[in-house]
Amino acid sequence: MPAILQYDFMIRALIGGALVGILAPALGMFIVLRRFSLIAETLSHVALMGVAIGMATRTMPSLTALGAASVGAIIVEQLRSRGRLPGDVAMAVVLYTALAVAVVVISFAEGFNVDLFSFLFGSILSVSPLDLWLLAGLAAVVVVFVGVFFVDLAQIAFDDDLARVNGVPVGALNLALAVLTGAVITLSMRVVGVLLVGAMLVVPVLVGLRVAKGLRATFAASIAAGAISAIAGLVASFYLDLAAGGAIVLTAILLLVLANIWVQLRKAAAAAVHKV
Amino acid sequence: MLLLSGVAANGGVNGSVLEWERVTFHYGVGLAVDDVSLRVEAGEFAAVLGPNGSGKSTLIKLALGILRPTGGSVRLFGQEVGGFNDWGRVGYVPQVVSAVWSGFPATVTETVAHGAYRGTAPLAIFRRSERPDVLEALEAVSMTHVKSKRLSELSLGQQQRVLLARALVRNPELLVLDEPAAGIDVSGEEQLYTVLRDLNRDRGLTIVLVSHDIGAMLREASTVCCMNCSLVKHGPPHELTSDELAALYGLPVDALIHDALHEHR
Repeated sequence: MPAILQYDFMIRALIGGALVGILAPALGMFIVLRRFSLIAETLSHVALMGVAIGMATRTMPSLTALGAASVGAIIVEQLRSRGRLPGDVAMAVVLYTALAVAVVVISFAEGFNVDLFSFLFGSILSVSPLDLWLLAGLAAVVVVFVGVFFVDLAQIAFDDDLARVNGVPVGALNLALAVLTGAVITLSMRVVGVLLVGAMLVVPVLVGLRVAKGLRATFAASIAAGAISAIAGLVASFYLDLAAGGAIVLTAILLLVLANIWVQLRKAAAAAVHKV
Repeated sequence: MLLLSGVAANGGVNGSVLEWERVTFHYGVGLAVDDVSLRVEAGEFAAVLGPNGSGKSTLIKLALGILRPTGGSVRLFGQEVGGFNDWGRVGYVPQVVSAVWSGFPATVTETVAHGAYRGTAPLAIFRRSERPDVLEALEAVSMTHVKSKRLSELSLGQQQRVLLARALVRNPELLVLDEPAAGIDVSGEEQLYTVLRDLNRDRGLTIVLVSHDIGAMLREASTVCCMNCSLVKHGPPHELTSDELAALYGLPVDALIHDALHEHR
């Protein structure tokens, strides 16, 4: 048995990483296509605020972060959809408010800096059995949500006015997508870390967009890229003693670079055939 | 019933397909639509003309329930648009879709297939996109040859025809188009209008079209509605004078309106 599989914490990290690698781009595709990627950054900082509050009040940080991210997602969606603020401004307001609250709470409470670091940068040691159960439960919800509403979410990303005229409940699905995104971000923090969790919603989708054509093929390629990045990154993290989040995201970036090279090579080959 | 079968153009209880009644709309403090009352009857080809900022597109968005009027009411097939659920009867072609700019991965076939759904489409991820109705809609706009391409790989004119196919695959009774010929060259424009003309004349499809192309609208439409926040003129194209057009646009407009151009009507 490889050394990496001889440790319970590593098996938990690999299962958690694979779930994160699949879940994040599964929702991220609809966010990237709507040019709404900043929401991942916003909700990860809201989740950080939840973590800080959880630690300061000695409540379970995963649950307080989950609650905070859900409320943050609803606020951003309400501000944006009601036209009170442009989408990017609404997200900026929520992001900086949450970050400021987190900084203030952290400055009041002392003694949890080590734990906080594991949330900021991710730690393969910190994935608990509870985190795994929560991730598995969330995975079931996301699979059902995306499986049932895939075409509706794609229609909204295509053009929300057209989706409305097609009878798609745009507001309700946008809200559900935002809340689930908040939950995925929160539960991914243990593996990837607050600072880099947003990348897992975006970078694998960019890989999918480069290599695949068609919605379903792009979706499949994106979650494959996410899962490969998470597992390869965790393995690298274990053997090379790297921070888990950084190793996972750098692997995803490497896949993106390789995808771009592959696309350029295909173009060059097609041009050569055309010349002949 | 597929696209190329006849369209049963049933109006609402009062016979009109679409009706704005004393409709007013404000964007913040700016008045965009001022007390507009207008009816579109079944089988009509109504062109909405007017300068930039005259409220044309707003009028369309109010008709489709995308915007809610500040005052007055809008009825689709005799029902208040706020409570209207029968969206399969309506096809919409916007001027531009946000997806075009984001390199949206959907193929042309997928894009058109999505138009066939009415309301939510549970588990449609597992349905084939290349179906007879989808191919028939693409055939109607002569776009079958690009069915496997991404929308963002097509020219603007081709994109508009794909969006038209997406609206037609629903077999709608009312087709609403917002400046569909904007940015399209002359030949693309002619192809588009030929399709619309056939759909209106041969299939009885009711069309409402917003346009800046005065010449084409005077040639193609059965009714013109001139907007400048309020409705300043409504009637058949031949009743519209050059002086009225000049007043609408604020500069001399020499519109050639000749009966020979209306031969197809």
